[in-house]
Amino acid sequence: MNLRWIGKPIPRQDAWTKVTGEARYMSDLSMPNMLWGRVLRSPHPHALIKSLDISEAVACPGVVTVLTHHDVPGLNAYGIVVQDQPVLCSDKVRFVGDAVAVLAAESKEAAAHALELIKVEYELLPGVFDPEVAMQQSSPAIHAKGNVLRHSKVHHGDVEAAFADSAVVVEREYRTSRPISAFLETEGGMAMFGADGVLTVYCGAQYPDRDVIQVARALGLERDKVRMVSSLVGGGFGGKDEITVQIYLALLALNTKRPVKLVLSREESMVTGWKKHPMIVRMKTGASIDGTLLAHEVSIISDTGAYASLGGTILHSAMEHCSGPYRVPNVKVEGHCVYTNNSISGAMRGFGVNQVTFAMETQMDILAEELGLDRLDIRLKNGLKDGDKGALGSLLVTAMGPVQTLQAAGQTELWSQRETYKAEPSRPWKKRGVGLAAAIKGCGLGFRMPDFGAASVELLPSGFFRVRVGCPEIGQGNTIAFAQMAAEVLGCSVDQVEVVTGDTGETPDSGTSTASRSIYVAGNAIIDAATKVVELVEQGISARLVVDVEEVELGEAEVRAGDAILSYLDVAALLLQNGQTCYASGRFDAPKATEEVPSVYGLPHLVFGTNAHVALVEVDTMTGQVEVLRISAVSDAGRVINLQGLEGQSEGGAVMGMGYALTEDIIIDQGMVRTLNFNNYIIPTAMDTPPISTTVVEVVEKTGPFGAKGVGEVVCISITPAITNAIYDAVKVRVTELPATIERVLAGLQDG
Amino acid sequence: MNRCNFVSPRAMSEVLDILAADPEAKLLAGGTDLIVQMREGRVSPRTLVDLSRFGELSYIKLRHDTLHVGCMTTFNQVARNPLVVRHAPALAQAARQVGSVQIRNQGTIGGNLANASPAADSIPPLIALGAKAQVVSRDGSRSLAIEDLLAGVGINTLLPGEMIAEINFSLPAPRARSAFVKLGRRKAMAIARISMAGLLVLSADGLVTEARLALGAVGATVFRALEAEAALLHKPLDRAVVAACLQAVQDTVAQKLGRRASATYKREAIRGVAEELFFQLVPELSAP
Repeated sequence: MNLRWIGKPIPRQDAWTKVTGEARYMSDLSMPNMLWGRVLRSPHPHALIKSLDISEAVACPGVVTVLTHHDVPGLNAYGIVVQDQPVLCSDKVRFVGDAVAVLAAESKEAAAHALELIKVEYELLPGVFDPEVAMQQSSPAIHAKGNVLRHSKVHHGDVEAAFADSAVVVEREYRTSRPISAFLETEGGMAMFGADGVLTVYCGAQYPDRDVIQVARALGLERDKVRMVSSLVGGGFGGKDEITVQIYLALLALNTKRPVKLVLSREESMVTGWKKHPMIVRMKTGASIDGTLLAHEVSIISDTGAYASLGGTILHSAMEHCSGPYRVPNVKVEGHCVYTNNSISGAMRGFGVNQVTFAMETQMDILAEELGLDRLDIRLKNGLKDGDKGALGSLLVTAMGPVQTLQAAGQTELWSQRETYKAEPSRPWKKRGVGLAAAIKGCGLGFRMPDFGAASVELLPSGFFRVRVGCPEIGQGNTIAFAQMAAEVLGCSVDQVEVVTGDTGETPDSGTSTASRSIYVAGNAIIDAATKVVELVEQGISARLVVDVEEVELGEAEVRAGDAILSYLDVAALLLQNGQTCYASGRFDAPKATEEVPSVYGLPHLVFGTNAHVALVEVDTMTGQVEVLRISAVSDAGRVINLQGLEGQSEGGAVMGMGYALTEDIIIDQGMVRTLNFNNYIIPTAMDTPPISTTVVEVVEKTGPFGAKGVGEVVCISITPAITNAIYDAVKVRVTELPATIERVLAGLQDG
Repeated sequence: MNRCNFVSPRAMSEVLDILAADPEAKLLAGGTDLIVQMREGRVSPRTLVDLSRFGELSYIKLRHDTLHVGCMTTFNQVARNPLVVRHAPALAQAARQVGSVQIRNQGTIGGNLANASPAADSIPPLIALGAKAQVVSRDGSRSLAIEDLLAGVGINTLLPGEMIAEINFSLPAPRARSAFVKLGRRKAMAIARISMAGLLVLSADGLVTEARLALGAVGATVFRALEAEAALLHKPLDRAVVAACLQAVQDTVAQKLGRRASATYKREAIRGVAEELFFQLVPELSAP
């Protein structure tokens, strides 16, 4: 394929305005006559609401409206899968931060003051904070239907027999932490009614079309009376996939008929935001003497907190990826997703795969050590290939990259020269180690969910092309990739393509900006639409200038029609006369596996991205401090659309996974969140970030646009076990609980 | 945050008058601690006195072998000042490790001291340097050692109406060495889990004639490790002497921490912080 734009490191169109601060996020907007909204939240993890008195707050000067569950006109609940989270709690609160009332006032200060005047009488209930305790029948029920949201089992092959045949069996328990997205822009936005009676909610979010459904359902409005605008978004990472403040904004605007702004403080965001699921993962893995994996038995207990959101789906994703990027013929996996009175867990970059990959990649290192095998060799021997079966027994029929990616990781200087890198630590009492790990992550929504892309392409009077796609730009850089894909098909330069995303009034529903899917599905839809527009232009010019269609050719700056050369402005003038349009919509339905995995809803995925990481660390044997000195990332994104974008994803993902490995954790004590801001929720800074190099392996996926897959998530997964495996390589401390804090590493050093 | 009166005096005398009239008034220097505390509702002053509107409290000057640092001098000014870098490297190192560039442009050395956090980055080096605080009120002024200004976590010994106007210290002897080490959870924007500063003066024949070691974040205040200092005094800086000193540091810290939750970690990790400090103070000892 001779490609003009695909794969080129073309700078993002939004880079300049974001760097200069000129770009406006939805929570930056303001309007004349605007009110400020606030949410009253439960201070208790589990309690009955005995009474609710808003009279003083209503009477407070500057307060325009105070709303409780009585004022939710439609369904007082939301949730992507099951709607079990009240918009405003009526009888019971289930976590610290649960919403009880919302109000709007003339100023921020009046809103804050009025919040203190709402009187809520609670009757405290015993809280359940440990998911294993919550699973017991005798525990207090958080929801009427019980505390187990999802319990699923899969067994394929014969695990018992395969363990009996194994030369070694490694059994360990792993515990993972509760990180938060830590996006730059907290949850927030503005809502207002237009002259046409449509309620527009401006709010950074990852799937505006689904937000419309949830907002309309709660407000009892028709969907076409609600519009969501959600681009630009100051970071999502999964934390803006579910409803955050959209319904509150809409309720307040509905009741006041004025523009309302509501932006969560960082503290409020830390308490109420969606966290990554903490999981207890027990793994028993058997291998033959040559390191061939034979049997894998896995138990996963996932703490989803007070409400379901995507907890069940995330558990299933964890189950599907429980053997990492490796082939195991006999697998038995059981998962529980459990309600607790902890903070809510939901989608976060990796979607259950980070947790199990951390566990599996640690198992692989332990197996290698017990068998005396090289850590890379054992991985290469077991790496998944096309035609293998995945962990749940489904056939893998698309381009699988683990072997190629691991081979490239083995060729990085950091791995091949690791003894040199380890040789000279900066202090006599410090030790260096190099770790290796790999991961796969499914792209898209799996077997059951409708998984489609939709886009439109049109020629504008200016001679530019406009591409419309629902999947919002959440910082990942899909806008420039969309422009490149459109330009590649159209033949014009990338500069001549304008991309609009994330506005239900302007863009076709193209599904979520999640699940490493927007390039894959929307890219294919853009190709479809752009191909049609090329035909429309060719036919239109051919008819107007009376030349053969074959003689019309769209070029970078001009269109050739026989002997004539037209600028795109000329083309637009010719084709858009008298109200005519040059417009096409495009669609792509993601292919699905031929059969569903029995007994786990929604699986398998069909397409997988792969990543491998090599990490060099230096461990202070006296303080337990771990410094990451160098990271080599190897990314299989299928065909790369924008190299700069891929490197950005790769570097950002590596740093996010490094925070997961070493420092990031929302600490909850008896339901109370103790980490309220970035002073004690420790994300890596630029100073902590080592040089990161990214190598590209293009295992081209034929169903992908130009062969591309998605990588938004897989780039942040294997770095975590690469770092913890490097810690072991340095000081023989096996990290089985995340994060590997200075205290835990030092305790490990003392035990050893 | 509650409402409060905000006053911006244009001269020092005005500040002292306000403080005399309202001893509860809070001085706002860089605000990097105070504003955070107000936001969290831990303090809610009725009156905030802004010190940023007159320049006379921001200076670093050398007079008669004493370095004078005005209370409103920012960490970046301290970190980049050639006199500090040359004569008091421990203080420059500490100032460089405060927060981030933005915080170092905002936070002041006087504010850091008055806030009296046991984890304050500037306090250990100031104690190691034997620095004094010049404290003023409408009624006069007094000078007191930095240690004597610290009474507990977030508690200083200033009397009603007093403020810290200046910090000063005699230049260390020409053969002095000083260093500062901070253990945090990351390399920037980190609150010290443990910090330590040291100043050593060696005689021409290599004996320790002066030793001051200060420990941060291992007690209610930053304090001097007197036993550890004694282990060095009048001795040559060989490996055995340093080992005895490190042991004394560790013992002191264990005693000071008692049964606090963090004690298990800190009484071990102090060893690494002290080792790093001596690596910097006496690099020749670690040479292969």
